Amino acid sequence: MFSQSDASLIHKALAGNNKAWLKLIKRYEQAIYNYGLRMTGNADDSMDLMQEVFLSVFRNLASYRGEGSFKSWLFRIAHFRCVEFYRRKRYHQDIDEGEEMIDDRACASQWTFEHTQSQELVAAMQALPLEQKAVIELKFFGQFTFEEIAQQLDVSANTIKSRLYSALGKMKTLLEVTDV
Amino acid sequence: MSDKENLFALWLEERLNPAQQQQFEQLLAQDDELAQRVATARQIKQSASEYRPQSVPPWQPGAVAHRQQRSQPWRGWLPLSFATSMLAIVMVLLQVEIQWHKQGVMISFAGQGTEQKIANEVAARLENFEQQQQQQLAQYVNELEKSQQQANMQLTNYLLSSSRTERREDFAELIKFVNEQRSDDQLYFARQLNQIQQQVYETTVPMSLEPKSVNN
Repeated sequence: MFSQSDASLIHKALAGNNKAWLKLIKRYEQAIYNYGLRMTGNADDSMDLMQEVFLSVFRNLASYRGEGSFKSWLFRIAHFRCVEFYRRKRYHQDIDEGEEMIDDRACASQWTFEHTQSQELVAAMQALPLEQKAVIELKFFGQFTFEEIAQQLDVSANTIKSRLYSALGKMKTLLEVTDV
Repeated sequence: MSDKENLFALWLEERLNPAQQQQFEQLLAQDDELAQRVATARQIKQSASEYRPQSVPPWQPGAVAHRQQRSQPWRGWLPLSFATSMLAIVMVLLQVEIQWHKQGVMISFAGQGTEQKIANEVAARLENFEQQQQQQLAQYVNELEKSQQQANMQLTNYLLSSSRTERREDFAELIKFVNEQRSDDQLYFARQLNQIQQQVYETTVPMSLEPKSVNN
């Protein structure tokens, strides 16, 4: 139902219908914004990231061929923009090798959580390498399957599982520390 | 991937069947590492489920499209350039030709303009060639007639002159023959006369001898 509706909006947006494009943005802006919040830990960065994601979507909308859900395609673009964001921010670090990128400014205190556990979780996620953080984000918040995550990140499903197990091991320690 | 990790992945996606569920629970009881991983995953699941999405701060979604259009001002020209390209391709495919004449502009397709022009030029040249050929043929016929008349006249003159000469020669020959014949006849008659005279003389001589004896 949603994918059909997405396809209809995409079709209209490609035909130049501005209202359809705005409706498509409205439908997913909150998901992308919160994705950015959890991935960057910063509201301003999340806002910039969201705008870059939708700009990229606008540029590449014609290349979307309807293979897989639009949401998966959208989060695939979001992941690429997020990787670029971190590359710009920490260009001296090799993020592909899984260097840990702990952003001191990326703390949950910059935006308000209504639930402490969520705050702890997002704060702990900021200590993970980007690729592991992406898997935690897509698995537990995005509710994607391993196969879908593998397609979005351009790696095998086994690699995603390995990253998840590694991330869970680190998260256990991080969450225990937070609890203390 | 080991069975333990596969079972964990299936558990995480809530796709364990009853047998796998039983096997997974047995493993959980025996494997501390798996149990800790499951506990962490449950904690994260719980925290994620309690996460309340933050509302998006006010922004202008339409600015994304405008920003894109500003960054690519040539995009507005895309339809025009595409249409121009298509027009050029169609003109090449259909062999469109535009010719300016004094009378106006002529647009032709599939080389028909060129073919028409070539046909006109060929027709004009053929007509000119035909006229030249006719003139040359008429001139040739006249010359032939003149030469034929001259030849006929020469032949007639020759025949007339040659026949006169021959007749003159023939008459001369005939006269000569007649003269010779007359001469021969005269000789013949003379000889005949002579013989007759001789005969006459001989017959008459014995009688003459008698006068001789008489004289004795």
